[in-house]
Amino acid sequence: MKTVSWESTVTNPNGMHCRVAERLMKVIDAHEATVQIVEQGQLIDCSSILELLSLALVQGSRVRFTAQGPDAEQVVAAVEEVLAEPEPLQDASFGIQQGASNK
Amino acid sequence: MITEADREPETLYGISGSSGIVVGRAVVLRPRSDDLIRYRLEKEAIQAEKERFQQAVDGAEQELKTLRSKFEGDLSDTLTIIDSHIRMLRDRMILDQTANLIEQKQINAEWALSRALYLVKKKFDHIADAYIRDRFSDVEYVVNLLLDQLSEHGQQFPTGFAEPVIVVSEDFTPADTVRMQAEKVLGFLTEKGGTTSHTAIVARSLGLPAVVGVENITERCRTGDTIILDGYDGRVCLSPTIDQQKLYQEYDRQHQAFSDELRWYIHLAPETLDGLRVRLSANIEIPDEMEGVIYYGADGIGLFRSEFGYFQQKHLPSEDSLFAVYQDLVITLDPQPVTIRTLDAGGDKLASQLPGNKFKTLHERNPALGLRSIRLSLQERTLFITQLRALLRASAFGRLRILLPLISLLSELQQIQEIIIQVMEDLTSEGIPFDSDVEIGIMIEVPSAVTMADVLAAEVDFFSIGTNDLIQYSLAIDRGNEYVAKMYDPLHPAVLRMISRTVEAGHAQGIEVALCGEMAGDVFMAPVLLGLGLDELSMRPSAIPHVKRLLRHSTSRRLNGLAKQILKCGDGKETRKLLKSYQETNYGGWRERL
Repeated sequence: MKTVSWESTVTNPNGMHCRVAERLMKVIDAHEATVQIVEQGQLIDCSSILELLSLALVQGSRVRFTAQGPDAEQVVAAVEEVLAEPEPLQDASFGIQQGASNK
Repeated sequence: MITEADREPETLYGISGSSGIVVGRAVVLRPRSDDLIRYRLEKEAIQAEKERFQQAVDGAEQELKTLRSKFEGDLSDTLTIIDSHIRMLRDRMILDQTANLIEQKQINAEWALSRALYLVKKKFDHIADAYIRDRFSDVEYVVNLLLDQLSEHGQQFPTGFAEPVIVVSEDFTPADTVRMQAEKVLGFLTEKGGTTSHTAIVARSLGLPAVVGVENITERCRTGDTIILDGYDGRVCLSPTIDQQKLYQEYDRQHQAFSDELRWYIHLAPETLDGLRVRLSANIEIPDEMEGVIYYGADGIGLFRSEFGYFQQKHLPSEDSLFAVYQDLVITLDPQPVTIRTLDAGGDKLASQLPGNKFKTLHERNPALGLRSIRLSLQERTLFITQLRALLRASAFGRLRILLPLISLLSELQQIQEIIIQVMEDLTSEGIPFDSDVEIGIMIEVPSAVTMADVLAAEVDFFSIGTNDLIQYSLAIDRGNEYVAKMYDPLHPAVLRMISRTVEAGHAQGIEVALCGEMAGDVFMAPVLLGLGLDELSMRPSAIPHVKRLLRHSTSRRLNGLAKQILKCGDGKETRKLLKSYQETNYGGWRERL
């Protein structure tokens, strides 16, 4: 079983919020690897979007990742790419009103 | 979220749907979106609850995918957001956590989900960065989707309570109540409905207490709150004190003991020790209540509220269907009188409830002073004539009395007399039998009718004082308005003087005067009414033995003396004091209102 560990910096202006987390998880899903974040001595699995969000990784946060699995090496590059993506200019809240479903 | 500990005890008033008193926890069904259903599950119900939650997750995912398809190919960021929401649905902090809580805590899905959300919130609360902290709103959005799904696809009526509860809802459908019969229900509490509502009828048949028509109760009462349901007086105490609970339990015990004793009075004459007879008749809303009328030994029916035949159905009733109901009543009670009030819709009993679209468009700023009751009948002539024909036809089969509500002008009475004469001529020419001497009376419930009582008395066969409305109109108080409801006072001297004046005017013309408001059945207030010389008190059937017992322990001399004194009082407080001392001196076994 391959294991890769690396450090990265969150460069997205708004940090690790929903869209970034979603994209991050999508690329992880596309690889045969489990990715974890080492935070204060604990391993947080990147399979929970809510865990990811609650880490509150703001712009400039240093993150220590570990990846395990056949695609461990490939997933590193994919994760890096997501974390380096610039934010789109538009605000992507598209009219979901909090607490109201779109019926 | 209001917790019970923050709440002051509060008493709310509705309508007694079914008698009895229970103290228990409430379960609020079909709540507003900001409220939450919470109840504990039996072990056997856990698996089904987890499946219900899973179905809600699937449903919410489907909903998001449908939404996603609308944005397909135009806004990739939007799609990403929707994808993140779909992911949240399946997130272990929501999905697994909720399922675990259902199992471990034995609680329903909505409650478990709200606890899971709370745990997520705690994680987010520590986030310093506002932008990321605000992402919690996305989590809330997803949870709300799930709650919507649960309320749509969930059972409207939860099952598997671990303890018997008082169920609270806007109203209950027949399907709800069928399901509830097998459940551990202590009593029913609803926002809508009157004594004829489905809930009240079912509660009576199940022998469970019910209070109906309590305004905003589904908002004011939360699941888990302890409440006292007083089906005798149509009261609800929210978050009661321990003392209140004891008091009500004692009151219930007294009621039970008292009703055992009261059975003896059912077959005795309603008269004072010195031989003054007063008719004690029944107020009913549905023919099903006839059983109670006979059981409690009523002297006929003093008020049959005929709205029942009009509401709760798809079409306006036909003449024949109304006739069948009225005929049945008069035949059953013959030779006792059956007083039937013509349609009293509008105002608080919205005309929009009437079947037929023409009523749906009625928008009034102040319905209580608007097109209601007899005014509606005079405007909707066909409706009125149909009812009059049915009433007159039934008058051939026993002693039927027609009662016209909300008369405020002599001219209204004259118009009605013309219509009745016309209907009688039609029936005669059609060869249909009716009682040409049928008694026609009016409700006295508007101050103008009181002041003109001497004039009106010359035109009719009897008066019936409707104190519920008379009090509201004369004191300018809407009893349903929480800000002023406390000022609603049946013992206000102004009200008692109006009653006295109406009785005098009626007697001067040789007609009988009845009273059919709620106060007639109140043992504490009844002595004043008896002393004011009313010929008939009409009340809910179960109150008749109570008032009869009081009557049989009284003398007309003492009652009249009390009334004379009371008419001199300056306010309701003084009236009450006087009444209380009268009761203490002359009549044991009454209970002061809690």
